[in-house]
Amino acid sequence: MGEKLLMKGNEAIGEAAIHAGCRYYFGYPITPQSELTAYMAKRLLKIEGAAFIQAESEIAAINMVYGASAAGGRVMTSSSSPGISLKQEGISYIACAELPCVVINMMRGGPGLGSIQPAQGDYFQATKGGGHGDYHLIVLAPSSVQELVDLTMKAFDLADQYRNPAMILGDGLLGQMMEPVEFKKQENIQVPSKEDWELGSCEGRKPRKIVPFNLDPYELEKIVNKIGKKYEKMQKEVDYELVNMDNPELVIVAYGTVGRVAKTTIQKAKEEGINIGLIRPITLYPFPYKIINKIADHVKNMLVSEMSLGQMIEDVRLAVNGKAKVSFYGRTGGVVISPVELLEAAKKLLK
Amino acid sequence: MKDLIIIYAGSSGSGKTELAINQSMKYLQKEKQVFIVDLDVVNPYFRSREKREELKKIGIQVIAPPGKFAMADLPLISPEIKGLMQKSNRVLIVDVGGDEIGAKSLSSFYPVLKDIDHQMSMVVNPYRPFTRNSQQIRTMIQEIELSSRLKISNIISNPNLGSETNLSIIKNGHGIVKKVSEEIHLPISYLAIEESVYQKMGDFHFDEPIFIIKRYMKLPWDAGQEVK
Repeated sequence: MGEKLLMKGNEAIGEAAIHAGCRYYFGYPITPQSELTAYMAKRLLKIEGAAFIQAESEIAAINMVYGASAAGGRVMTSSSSPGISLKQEGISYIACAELPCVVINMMRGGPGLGSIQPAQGDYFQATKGGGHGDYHLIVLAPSSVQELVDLTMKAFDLADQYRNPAMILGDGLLGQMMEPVEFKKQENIQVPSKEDWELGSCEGRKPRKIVPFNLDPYELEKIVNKIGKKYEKMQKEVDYELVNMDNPELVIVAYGTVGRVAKTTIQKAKEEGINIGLIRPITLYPFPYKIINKIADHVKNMLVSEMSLGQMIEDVRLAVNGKAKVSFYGRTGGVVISPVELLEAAKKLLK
Repeated sequence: MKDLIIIYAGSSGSGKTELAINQSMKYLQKEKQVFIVDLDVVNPYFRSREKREELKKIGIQVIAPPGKFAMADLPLISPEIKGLMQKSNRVLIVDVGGDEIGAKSLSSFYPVLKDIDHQMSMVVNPYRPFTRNSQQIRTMIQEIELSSRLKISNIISNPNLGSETNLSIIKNGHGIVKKVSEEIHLPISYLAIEESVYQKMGDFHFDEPIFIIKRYMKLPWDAGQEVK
């Protein structure tokens, strides 16, 4: 490869998944991510041994993911906010059964049926569980089409490594916009073999089962504790981007689309002689608490900006732990924050 | 006054909307009545209807579903379109949705268009994933003709990699488009080049006429975006 293409975010995720060895996709179309479902249909149907199913519903799709993953396949599903809500029970089952898979959420305005414009209102749902019970997803938040590609590939490896579902938390804008991309070979994370747990053929060995329950509370507690240990280990996967951190007057904390907007804000601020920095979390779970806490030692003014009423801000406050002033600027409903209004919000705080 | 109907079809993301807006502005210099018909029932974002207010100010009317229906992902087609096609003394620029699926909405106008002079352009960007070589482009042309029930009369070459476009990207991509043009005997009416790329091109010469375009469908972090 190495050849560049001009791709929509949604198409790029699809191609990245195929490059990562994903051969099974089950989904149900929903705006603004339907191009991904369409792309998987077009591509997977031409690959021998691969399977694409447009399921009868999101609930059916996520349970097909459970089955394909239990059989040892690299599998993906995708949707947008309301559809992701429908998948939550299945995601919780997959987490309990310790099955790897990748779930894509290209967020749109909510709550409810909401709007079809881009938003970031599903942060709580993605990072704090979403479904029932004690579990977390690995959550990655890209902010360009190239990053959608790179993080989608990484998500498959992380999911296999931890035997845990991984989510790409994007939004409609990232899904619909076009940018040049290339499909580089990822540095190989050592992905453990699935031989000792996958179902497949049981010829020559004892039958296995993969179930998302144990009726004996002491046994279920063992399972939950084992899953808990995985989340402790996962903390080392923390990833973030720092921009302009040479003694800034104020630091913006933003992910995804807003992280991208903030970079223009920083440029505009520079033109006016204002020095603004950016912390852009790339992993939302695990969250970069440590680096934000460290930065709060010398930057006393932090502005969290999200396309929501303020969700990630709770994690930023936990990270800062009272060491700096944490403020918020957000838009909801599907309104994308502009660089100018974010700069105005920053200027107000610096007055 | 001209009675023109220009239809832009092509793969999704090939540049139809940008070309439709740029061409409508060019026609507005000579013609009084210029309309853009937003026939895109496939894309939820980046459709010409998003520029409806800005274009109205300079005298170009965008025909798209009214009010908040414009923001819906519903396959709505305005009843005005048929009337406008039959009207004279106007330039009608039709911005069709991508691929053969997008072109399907055109087929409902076949009974009207078959008796009216029109031209259907195939916009090609060989850096898009499903139109990368002459084989794929020919397939796309066939599929669009089948689903729209209309014949493509010419090709518009629009080779670009967005912000990473340069002269060698254009040369390589345009080469692929030229090959298709020769193979299936469809003329290339022009090569579209974005203005900032054109300025850096030096005196390189292309055989085809060049149409310099400006980008109107911008991203929130691009320069010149206003607060709403």
